[in-house]
Amino acid sequence: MTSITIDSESSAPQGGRVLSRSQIFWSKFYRHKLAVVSLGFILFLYAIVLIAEFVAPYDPFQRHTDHLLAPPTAITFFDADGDFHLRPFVHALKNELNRETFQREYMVDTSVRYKISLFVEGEPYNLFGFIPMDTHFFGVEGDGKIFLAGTDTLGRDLFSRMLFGARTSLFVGLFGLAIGFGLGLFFGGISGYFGGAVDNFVQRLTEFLQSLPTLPLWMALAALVPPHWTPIQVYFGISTILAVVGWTTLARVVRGKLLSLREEDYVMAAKVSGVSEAKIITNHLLPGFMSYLIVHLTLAVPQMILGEVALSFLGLGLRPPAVSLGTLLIDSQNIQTLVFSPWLLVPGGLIIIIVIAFSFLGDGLRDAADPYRS
Amino acid sequence: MSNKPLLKIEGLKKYFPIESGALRKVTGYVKAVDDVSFELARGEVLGLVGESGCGKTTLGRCIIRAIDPTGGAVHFSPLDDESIDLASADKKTLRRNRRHMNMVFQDPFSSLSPRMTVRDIIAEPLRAQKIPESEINGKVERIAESCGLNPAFLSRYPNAFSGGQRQRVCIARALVTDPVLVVADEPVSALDVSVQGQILNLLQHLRQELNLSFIFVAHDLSVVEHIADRVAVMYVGKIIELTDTEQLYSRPQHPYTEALLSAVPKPDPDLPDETIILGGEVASAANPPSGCYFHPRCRYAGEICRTEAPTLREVEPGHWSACHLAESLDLAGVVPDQDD
Repeated sequence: MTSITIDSESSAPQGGRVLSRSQIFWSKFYRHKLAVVSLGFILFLYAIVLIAEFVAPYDPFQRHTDHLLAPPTAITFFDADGDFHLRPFVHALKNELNRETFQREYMVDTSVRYKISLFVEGEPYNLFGFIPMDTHFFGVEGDGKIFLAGTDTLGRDLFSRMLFGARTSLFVGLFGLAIGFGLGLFFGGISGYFGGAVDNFVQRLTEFLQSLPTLPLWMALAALVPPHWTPIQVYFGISTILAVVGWTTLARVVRGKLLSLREEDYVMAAKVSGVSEAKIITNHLLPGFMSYLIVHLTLAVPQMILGEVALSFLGLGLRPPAVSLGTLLIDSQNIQTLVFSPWLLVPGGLIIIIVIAFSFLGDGLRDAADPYRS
Repeated sequence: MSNKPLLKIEGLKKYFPIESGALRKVTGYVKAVDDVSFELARGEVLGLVGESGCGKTTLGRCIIRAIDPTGGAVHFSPLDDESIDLASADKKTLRRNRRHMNMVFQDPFSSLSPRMTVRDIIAEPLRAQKIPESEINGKVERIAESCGLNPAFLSRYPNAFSGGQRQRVCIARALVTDPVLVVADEPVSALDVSVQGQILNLLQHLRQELNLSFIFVAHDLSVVEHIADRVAVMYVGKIIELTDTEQLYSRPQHPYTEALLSAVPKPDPDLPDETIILGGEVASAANPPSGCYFHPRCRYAGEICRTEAPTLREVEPGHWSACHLAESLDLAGVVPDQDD
């Protein structure tokens, strides 16, 4: 052996241990630190939105009429005299009229301290819809209020609403994704596998869908959603709309991959060895673009979320009172309120973080999925 | 062993339709393999030579039914008593008989799945034939060893192997079911010359050990000379000459074969260069010339060559040629190697 060795699994010493495919996958994936952090964040986010009723200090529809458009509550360890307290606390807010500007302003009343506690009793709710509970993960004791991200124009806690909104948005994404993924795989599959007239038809259909201007199409389809639908029905409708116009790219790629893989010598080798068609598809064709599918799925989730946000923001998707990241941003459409209450944009920040996390995760998966493609 | 040939091919055709326009109207056909007939004896190695695009790969693939031929028959008798027509066999019969035949491909890089271990690749034909899992490992290791592969490396992926080793894997995969017929589609043309020699020797050795019949597709005449018992020369989808290797190299009976042989590089630079430069282009299989396909480039062509298509006929015992003038021409072959 020369002193120059190639740094890869393939140059392991002769007879050395050979890593299995999944070992190679994970070792590559762990090297992409941002992807690992993103994966952790995404899993964490999905976990807390599933138990949003428990994590959120308030009900998303509960109105705190004394605290309309209240700014985010400051959490401190030091009281007005500068004394340190081991348990963090919040001060009370007082709503006063500013005599100079004639604006209503919130003044911090440093004379009153409310300690922050974990597992406090609050509004009763049903966890997962059937476990009656009234314990919340955190809250303040007594009459105090804690608004981590402030309140909206109706005095509802923005942090709680964000958790419930993210739940809708994250799961609408998944549901729409499943539909779009199924459609893309199906149409791309029959197009690439059967070829001929079927292929021709599917390709023309794809071109037709891709040539439609997206926004007017969304508007037209959204107009079809009956106004009397419940929010759940509406977001099924929305996901279907996003999926019906969104499957074309995937179908194209699946078709192209199938066409090129079908012509590979190793597929012909399997055929002349007597391997059945079904086995050829599962053993040779599918693994050939599985890595692409994983990455596509990961990157499609944020697209679905953004699509839902865009539609809801334009008033075409979910409408209040349904809570989603998109409907939360509707409040920030008014520049007047935005100037005085910039915290209404916080849901936008959460969207950005979610989208970036999914992108990093997709990056890491792509690098890990095909270690021998250099 | 019976006298029945292993393979009897009759009028095999493969036409590829030419489609044009948005409606994909068929406007013509590329006759990649056009009315080819020959026999292959048990244990025989038939070399199939010709220039690029003459249909030799397509012929090999049609014989083994990797692609469906347009017409003709391929009578295959793997066992002495039964004979099946591969060209028209249904899927079930075909799959059952797949273990008697296999194929080695030209490109050892694209013919191995990058996502399977070498052990799984070699075992694939066995699994396809529903061989019990308990027997598979032993068979795979035995054939791998015969092909010069270290069984310790079988759990690696193909990317860890060199071109020559990969071709050994391909050969092992083709031979693992103990076939009687192997179509080798230019198995050495993608390899370095030194590795070519190793692989050819391996094929020779395996052929004797396992009593295999080969259809050996190649464009390199010196490779074919080394391994084949008989050689078929193809030009634009047809076999134009077929005879024993020695006979073909020393006394060709078709002007095209003469030109091919004259182009084989000679190892001695002092010998006079007698390469026959063919004028014009290879005839198009989509739009072949009238009469003999070779006449526009043939220096002996007469009137009959322009109008009448020659048939493959036995000009001497065991020597078939598709040339009208075969008997009247005295064509030059090559001097056999000294060490032969």
